[in-house]
Amino acid sequence: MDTQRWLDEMECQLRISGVSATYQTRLLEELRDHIEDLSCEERMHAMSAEAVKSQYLDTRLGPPQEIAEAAKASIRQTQFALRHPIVTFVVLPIPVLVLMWVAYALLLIVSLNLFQSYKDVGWVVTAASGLIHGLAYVPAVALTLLIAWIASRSRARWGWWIAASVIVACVSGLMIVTFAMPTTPGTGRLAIGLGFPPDLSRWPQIAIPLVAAIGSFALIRRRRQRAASTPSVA
Amino acid sequence: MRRKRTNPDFLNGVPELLILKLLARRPMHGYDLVQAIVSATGGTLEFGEGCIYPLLHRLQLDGALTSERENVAGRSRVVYRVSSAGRQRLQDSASRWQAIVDAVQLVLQGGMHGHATLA
Repeated sequence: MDTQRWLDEMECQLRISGVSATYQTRLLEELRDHIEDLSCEERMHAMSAEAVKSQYLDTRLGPPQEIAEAAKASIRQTQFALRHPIVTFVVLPIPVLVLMWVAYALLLIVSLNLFQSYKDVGWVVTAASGLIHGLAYVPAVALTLLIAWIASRSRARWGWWIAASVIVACVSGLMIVTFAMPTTPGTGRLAIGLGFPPDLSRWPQIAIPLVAAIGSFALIRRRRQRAASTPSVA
Repeated sequence: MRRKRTNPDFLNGVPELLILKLLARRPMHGYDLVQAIVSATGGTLEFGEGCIYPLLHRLQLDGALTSERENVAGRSRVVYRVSSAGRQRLQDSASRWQAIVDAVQLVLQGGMHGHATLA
């Protein structure tokens, strides 16, 4: 099998394995470099050109099918967040925050119905009011912490983490929740919506998720530093 | 010529440890790294040299390595380096490996309460 035929077979196997075109190009480039080094090595050992060609690449590099399988397995092992950082840290936070708002609002409706029978009890009214205003903060803070967990687990770069946290904080600033307690039956008012552009009066909705992001960032950084300061065995 | 098979056991945590350890000593390109592994292990570990690249790429995606195309001995090569996250990972992997070695050693020596026999 000569070099070009081996590389053609490798390319074919990579295509079959379904790895991306960019990855195929990268791997083939490095294998080509490696083959060049093998040729230099053979020249140094004064082996015949035939020895270099006949099944030599299969012997040294491994069969193309095995390399393609290793490439596929290797990519599969990599976390989604690292393979698709733009999707994970830039695109997904917005729809996920919207879904979290919807989920929270549904839970809120269920809880308020449960509270209905105790509407005259003081602390129940306070709790219900807190739950309603929590819509502007709880989903955004929860998503910020989720992003911190994903970024830390996947060891994504700080930049992606910061970008996602800022996006969540800014979108969170768009949420408008107004609530007026009923003074007489049927006069209570609850309005939920989005306001463009973010109003400065809603700055806590931006600041609180950012504080959560900074807090989790500092905590994880400290934990990593502490781990790094333990005696090295390397 | 005998076909060299990629040893699946080799692809189970050990290559990661070896790659990180050897690259922590000095930056290397793929071929150089393969030679370093063969030399450091006295040729004990046999593997298809092409399989080193998917591992290097995964470690880079994980942030343990960085790579750059550089001119090495008059040729353009992709040179890999261990990042600070990679050094941390090396430390973790090495500790884990040492714990496994110690545990296996304990068993081979007869265990804490076993007999010191090895067939």
